[in-house]
Amino acid sequence: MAEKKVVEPRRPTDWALVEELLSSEEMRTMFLYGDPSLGKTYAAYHFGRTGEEIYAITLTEDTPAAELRGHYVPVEGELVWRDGPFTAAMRNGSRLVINEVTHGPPEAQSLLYPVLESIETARLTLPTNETVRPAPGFQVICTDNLTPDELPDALQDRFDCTIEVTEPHPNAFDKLPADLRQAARRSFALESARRVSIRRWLAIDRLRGKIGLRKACHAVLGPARGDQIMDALNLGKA
Amino acid sequence: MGKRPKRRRVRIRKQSAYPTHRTQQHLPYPELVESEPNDTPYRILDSNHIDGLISNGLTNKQDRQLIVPLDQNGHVVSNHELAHVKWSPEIWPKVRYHPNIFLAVEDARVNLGLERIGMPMQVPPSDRVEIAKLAFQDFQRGDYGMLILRGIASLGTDVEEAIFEPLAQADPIIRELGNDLRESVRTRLERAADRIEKPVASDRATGKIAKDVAKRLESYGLIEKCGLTSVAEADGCLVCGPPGEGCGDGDGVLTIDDGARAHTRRERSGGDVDPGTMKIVMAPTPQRILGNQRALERKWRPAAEGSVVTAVHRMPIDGAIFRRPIRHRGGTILIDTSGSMRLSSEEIDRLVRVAGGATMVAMYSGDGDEGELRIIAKDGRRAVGMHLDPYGQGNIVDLPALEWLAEQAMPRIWVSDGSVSGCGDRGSKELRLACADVKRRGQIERLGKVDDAIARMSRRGRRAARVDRTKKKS
Repeated sequence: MAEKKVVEPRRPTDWALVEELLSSEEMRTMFLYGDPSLGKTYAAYHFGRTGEEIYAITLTEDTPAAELRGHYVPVEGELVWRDGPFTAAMRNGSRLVINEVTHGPPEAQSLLYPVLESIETARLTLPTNETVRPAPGFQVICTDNLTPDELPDALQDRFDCTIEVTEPHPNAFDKLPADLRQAARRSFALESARRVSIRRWLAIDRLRGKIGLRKACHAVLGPARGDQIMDALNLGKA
Repeated sequence: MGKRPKRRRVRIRKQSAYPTHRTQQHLPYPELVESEPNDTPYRILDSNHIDGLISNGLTNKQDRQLIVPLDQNGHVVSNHELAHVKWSPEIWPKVRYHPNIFLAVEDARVNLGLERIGMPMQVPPSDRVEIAKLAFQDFQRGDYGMLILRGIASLGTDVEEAIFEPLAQADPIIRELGNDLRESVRTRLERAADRIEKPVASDRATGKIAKDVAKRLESYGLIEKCGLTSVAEADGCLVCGPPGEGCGDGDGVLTIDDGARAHTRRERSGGDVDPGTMKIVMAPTPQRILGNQRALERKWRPAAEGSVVTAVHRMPIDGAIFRRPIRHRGGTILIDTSGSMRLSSEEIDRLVRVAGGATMVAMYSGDGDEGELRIIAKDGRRAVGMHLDPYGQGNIVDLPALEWLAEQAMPRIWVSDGSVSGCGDRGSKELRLACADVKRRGQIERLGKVDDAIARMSRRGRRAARVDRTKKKS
């Protein structure tokens, strides 16, 4: 098994390290967790391995293991095997992104055990009796809002890196124009009841060109909160 | 605003059900108007739920605290307080005249500033009537000094006319003084702002103007004569309306926003009650819950796709030859079996029987400094006989029991009269707030009676609750 890297949670998040790890061939399994709208999924999709095919799935309580591994589908009177994202990613040596992994049912989580194993051990035997081994480059990135404590110990142990994301990637704020950037940074640091996520600020920015800033605030945050933000922005500029 | 000479005792009233969702929409953002970033966020309190304030708006930049009405009409007050955050000094200057005079001129400064940046203070009609009433009361008492100050504080707002209106009936000398101060304060503040090319006058200019106002009022004997000392500890902005009435009692549990909670803690004068020690016990569950047994046992349903063929015979019928897991209708019920609930074991038995679909049913009560949470039904099996008898007569462990419930499967139902207590079966405001907080965060629904819970557990009850939730959302 590859040497386990233990990454202590940092404040602020060391995004450079996350990028470096995601670009590394040595890093095979990673658990990224933190509050919503911090860019965990974005990082999993876009950092390192750019241009390659990425398999992504979001687990829910109802996600059957068959959907992940693969299943037979009746096609013109015959049953045809179709790979699920786990199997396809293993075959192709691609990155597999599993969102909300703690929300998955036990059977889906059980399927993760062989998938998250070291490259030498990982394998899936399909109902077709075929055994799939991960091709070189196979990588599993799990993202979640909950901490890894929600997972069984054995599953936690299978992640090479576990990193807590505590703030959005600096580039996320840079996408905003200067007049919204500072407000976005400050509103992000507030308690949850008043926090406005970077995703919402980006939506406001996209919409304001068409419908104006006040209407964009109303549309994205609702009329009452939209007015509060709008007036604070106006007063902040004065 | 600024440093207060003396802190008033405040009392936080009960709020209606689901206040947080409603009030959250009206939370202001003072952090966004500050010129320099600050790591400590402002603590926002709802003035609708604090007794003892004479005004519904208050800013304390030193303690980073904002008290404003968190409702639709409170927006204008929030804007005024945000303007204080933006333009007012952090530390109140020491003045040799009455501090209310400075406060009035400061209010005028920020109101005129808001007017200049296109955010004039437009007081809602209901508050306008109340403010006019206060001005008229000042006039009736002969408190012309206060009336003039109130008028000065309202400069730049749409209540200015209404406040100065009673002055028309006053002695010509007082009337002339009032009108003169009204004009001169406005003109001087505007000129001072123009000079520095900013929306508001500088702190220094404002201080000078306030000093001159104090001199004028003193020369007319309006400070001593009209009892300005009686409002020497005024809390809040003179231009903001009186605090409004709070919402009615919703579900018997005090629920309040985070800020107010912190505030209560600070203001409380001792008397904390700790929750009792709770042990969790799993009662023997020898009996199957009848009625829903079949539904509980069924774990799969046919599907048109899958990996294991389980029903080839369905191929020509609907093609659903595979199977996939069924999500069970679950949930958790927690029953308060303290003496105040007066529940018999028959009633508990009836509830356990009806709650067959629930993942878990538990009951709790306590005695002295400890209590017990007993799981009496789980996964279609239930306890019987003496295991349904309450542990004690007191509540004691409401808080840990609710914390436990908040971690169980949804929907979470708490059958209780809403009264909570800790060690020695004593209650406290802090404990109530903590329970309310857990209840809110855990999305726990409280039902007062066993019959309500039975109705809720029925199919129709579930549907009605779903419709209720949808209506509340919309």
